[in-house]
Amino acid sequence: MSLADDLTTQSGESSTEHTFATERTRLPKRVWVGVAIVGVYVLVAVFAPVLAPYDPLAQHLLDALANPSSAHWLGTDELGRDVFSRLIFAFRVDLPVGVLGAVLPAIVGTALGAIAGYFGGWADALVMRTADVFQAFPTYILIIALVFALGQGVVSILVAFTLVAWVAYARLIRGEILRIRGLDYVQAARAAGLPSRRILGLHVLPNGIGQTLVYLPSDIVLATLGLAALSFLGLGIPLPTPEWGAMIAAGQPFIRDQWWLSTVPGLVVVGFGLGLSLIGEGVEEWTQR
Amino acid sequence: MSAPLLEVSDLKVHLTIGERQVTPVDGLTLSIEKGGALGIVGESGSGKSLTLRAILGLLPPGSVVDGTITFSPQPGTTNEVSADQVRGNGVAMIFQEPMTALNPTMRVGDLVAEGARNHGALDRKACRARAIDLLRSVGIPSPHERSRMWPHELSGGLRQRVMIAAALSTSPALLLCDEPTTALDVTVQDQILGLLAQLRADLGMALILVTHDLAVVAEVCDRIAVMYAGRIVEIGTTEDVLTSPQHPYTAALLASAPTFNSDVAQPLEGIGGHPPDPRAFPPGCRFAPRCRFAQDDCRTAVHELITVEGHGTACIHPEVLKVPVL
Repeated sequence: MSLADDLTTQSGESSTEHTFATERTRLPKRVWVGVAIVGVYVLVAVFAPVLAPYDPLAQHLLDALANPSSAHWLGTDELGRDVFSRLIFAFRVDLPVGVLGAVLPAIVGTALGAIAGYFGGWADALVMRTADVFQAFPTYILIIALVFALGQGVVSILVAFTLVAWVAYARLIRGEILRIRGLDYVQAARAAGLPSRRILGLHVLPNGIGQTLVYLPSDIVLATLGLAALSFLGLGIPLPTPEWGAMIAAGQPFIRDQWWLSTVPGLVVVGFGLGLSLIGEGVEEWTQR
Repeated sequence: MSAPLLEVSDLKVHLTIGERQVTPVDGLTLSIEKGGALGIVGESGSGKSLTLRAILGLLPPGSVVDGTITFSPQPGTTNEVSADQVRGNGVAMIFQEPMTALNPTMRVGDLVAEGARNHGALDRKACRARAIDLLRSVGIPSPHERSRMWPHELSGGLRQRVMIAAALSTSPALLLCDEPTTALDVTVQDQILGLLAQLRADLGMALILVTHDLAVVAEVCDRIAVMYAGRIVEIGTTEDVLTSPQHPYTAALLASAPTFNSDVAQPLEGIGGHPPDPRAFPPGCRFAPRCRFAQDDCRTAVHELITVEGHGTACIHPEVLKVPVL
């Protein structure tokens, strides 16, 4: 058996394959633009106390509804609080709630969907019928009902988001796992006697998680918008904690004269959504190459 | 004679397709000695691959297996086993398509180490060393560098070697090979067969090789089982089966394979008709409808292997082949 031949053809082949591979695996530029935007948001959230010129909760009723000036860059609200400082501190609420509002359902949904898809049978029936029940309700109606029932606050919002949004993740991963379960390398792993837990963790999930990771950034956008919408309706984070949606709602009565009170928080939400969408779209494009 | 390593008796695999139940493997009996090499040949759909998968319990959900499988890796111990017990515990399997049989998200070294880690309680570092040893033992050049590569960076031949290394990582006494060389170039095919034969000799490991390529069996195996429509129709030593077939199906298979002396102007002889549909196997001898020697009693014949001097055939009229037809 001549291995020398095999070796030479091999090294030649793999080097050309390698350059081709790096070309292929390079992420599109827009992903990096998205990462930069989201990175700025994260930095603002982390350094909020340094960046904000005033205490976001300090009221100066004599200064209420002041126009933007060098002292108050975005003016003040109806209670005389510095809008710029409130906007900055709101990053610390919206970002974690938005991210957790997507990551928690992703974890729960992926775990349940993976079990359903891999083991099938009654586990599959139980998980997917439960998913059907949750999906039968309009999303926002269900979230509002749950927040009403659980009481206002970050925890109940996250619980409500998780209960509603896990369904999408469960369906995504279940479909992928049904496809992967029959592939030869999973059969090979079973033939080698690996326990189900290891097969699922090492061989099935890493190959099926792609779609979920593509969907996750878009879902963070949805969760952030969801939080803003809830706060706008008065069901979100309790006052007086600064939050983008609540700020938009609070600025609403003054939209004719002090239009920036609602508009600037709105633009901040849009910017965050844009950054995440760029990441999600770019990663999707990348996985489909 | 010591107890055979693996004994399969009256194996039946029932699958449900739509509303109907079919039995693509129907009453299969075979055994293999420690260190032996058995080739199972047959057309597509004859149930060869299902047989292997049934031994390991890797059948699609909803299939039912009947029959007994005994596996005795230590001489003297004979026990009936379920598929869960043999998996990774003396029986390993390699697959036809080396691209899809390797997890694309694992480096090949980790892939090979995984089986070793599951088998013995070795620490991470020892597993990695064992994986590199295994990669070297299957003839992979520069195993250190290769172990850090991804499956897509390797050629078909190297991938097949990686798969063999992964199968060896559980130190099997029996290696099931499902068309291990079908997807490879002829030259690489030859290297892989050479490797399998060498591993068999070095490790005393038994092989069951499923293929439709008679040349492959002739090269590696010392016994051949010919399958047709879910049953073994002929079994014997490679030499006996290939030189004096006792079943018209085997004879027809051999006649349809090209040899060095074939006249290229002459079309190869085929076997008329199609293999029977497992939803409607013919009664009696299942080859009878396509057999040119078929007689009336063939259509009611009971399937039974008639063994003379270790050479079994299911044909009730093997004497028809005495007339030289080849």
